[in-house]
Amino acid sequence: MSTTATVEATGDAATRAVFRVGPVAAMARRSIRSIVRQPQVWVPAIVFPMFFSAVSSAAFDRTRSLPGFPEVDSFLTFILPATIIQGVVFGATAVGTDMAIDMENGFADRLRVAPVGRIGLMLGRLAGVMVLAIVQTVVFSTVFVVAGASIAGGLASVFGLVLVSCLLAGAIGSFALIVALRTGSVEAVNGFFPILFAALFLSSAFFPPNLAGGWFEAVAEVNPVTWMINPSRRLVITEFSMSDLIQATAVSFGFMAMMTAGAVGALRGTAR
Amino acid sequence: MTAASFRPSLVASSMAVWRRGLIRTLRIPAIIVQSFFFPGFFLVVYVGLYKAVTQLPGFPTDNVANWYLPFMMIQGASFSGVGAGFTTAVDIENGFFDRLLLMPGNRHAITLGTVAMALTRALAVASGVFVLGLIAGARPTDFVGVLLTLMAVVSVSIMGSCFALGLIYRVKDQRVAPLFSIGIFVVLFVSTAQVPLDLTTGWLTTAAKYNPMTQILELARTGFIDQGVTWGDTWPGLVAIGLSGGLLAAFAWQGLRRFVP
Repeated sequence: MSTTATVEATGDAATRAVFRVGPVAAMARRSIRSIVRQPQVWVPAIVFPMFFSAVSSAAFDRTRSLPGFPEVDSFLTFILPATIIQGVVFGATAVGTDMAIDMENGFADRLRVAPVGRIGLMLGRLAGVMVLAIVQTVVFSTVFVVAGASIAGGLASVFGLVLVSCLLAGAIGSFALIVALRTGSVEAVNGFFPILFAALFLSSAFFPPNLAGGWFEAVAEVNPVTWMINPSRRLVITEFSMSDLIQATAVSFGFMAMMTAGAVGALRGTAR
Repeated sequence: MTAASFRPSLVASSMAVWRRGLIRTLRIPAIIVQSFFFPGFFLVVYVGLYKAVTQLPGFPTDNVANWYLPFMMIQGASFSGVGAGFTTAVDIENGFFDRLLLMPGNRHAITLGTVAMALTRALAVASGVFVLGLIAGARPTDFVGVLLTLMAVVSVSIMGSCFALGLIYRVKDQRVAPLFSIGIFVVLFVSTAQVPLDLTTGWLTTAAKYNPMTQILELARTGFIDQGVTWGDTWPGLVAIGLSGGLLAAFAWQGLRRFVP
């Protein structure tokens, strides 16, 4: 190989690398900017879960005296992980809506021909909702502590919650992307919101399933949302423990990996 | 009578608007499914999830389905009002509303027909939720009380529709639509929707006390709590319906009058 050829080859590789990293970073920036510029996405995703928690806390605070209720000094402490997950559900579907709009206006076609890996493209798109999840977790934790909740594990537990919410936002965002890519419809993306909401309500998010008993406890036990909520809740009401952190993050990471793979598959499907 | 002098009555025009709304709803089954899904799903979930709440001292019934069934019927009724607002917003956006305004006869038939359609939807949803409630274990304790529940459902549907229509007539923009749901959601939940007033704590106690929805829910629940129907539980609800209903009807009425300068 001649010197010129080597230089050209090196240049091509560098160019390819830039093409790989550059568009992904650009997509991430675009995704974050898109969220920031749409207050109709992030305002309800922060205000609604807090409103719902404020009402639930004031309504159900006396249930802490029921036998079998975890020992907490405030219902807010009990409900904090549920509020974070609820907020993520509210916010993360926005990535699907944006994708459906991009498909309607033709921007998605330009992305398909971009010389960049599909996984990178998906991760870039998810950056906005993942950043939103971090902001939501920090805001909810701060407001709840000011309102009387306590986080037993301190900052380490907050970090754990941030990690879980961030991965979950990636999972739900990818799910919304799958729907958007398969249907190309904003309405269809919004139509899937009740399913996510139902999964949240049929878990241990809002009340201890052991107090509910019956069919509800059986359903909640096999609901993966419960597998994520319970260790997250222990991080808040008991203490920080690495095993709880690993359990909560493993479930959310598993979701994200599965859903991102599905979204990449859906993107490849639309390219055919 | 010549065609030029033909002027249909308010009732006939309202019926025409109602019929159009009904056909439109029946053509989109998703609307019916969605209207029923939320109250139906939440009834089932609340009955399963909050069963232990009835163990709290002072809870007026030991049957959790009895407590939540009237609330879910009211919730379904209120969201039928949101539907009325949405369909009117779409009509305004696509220009059909302008054609409605040109129809011979009283323009308020548009509001009356739309409210009547929302009421039809509310009654259909409430009936379905009522049957689901019976399956979930609800057992009315007083027949007169069930009629009062029905009255509350009708009133809340009319009030929800008037609120949404009053808003859209003034703003004339589809983007105001989320405010319909937010407004109704807040009024519904900042009340005794989840637990009785005596069991609420903090700010909710004060807010729920002055929220007319609390009195309306109390009225709706009289046929489902152990005590049964009493005048003391009934009259505040009737007053709340009269005052809130009157104000919201005026809000919608004035909104349509302002719509066309």
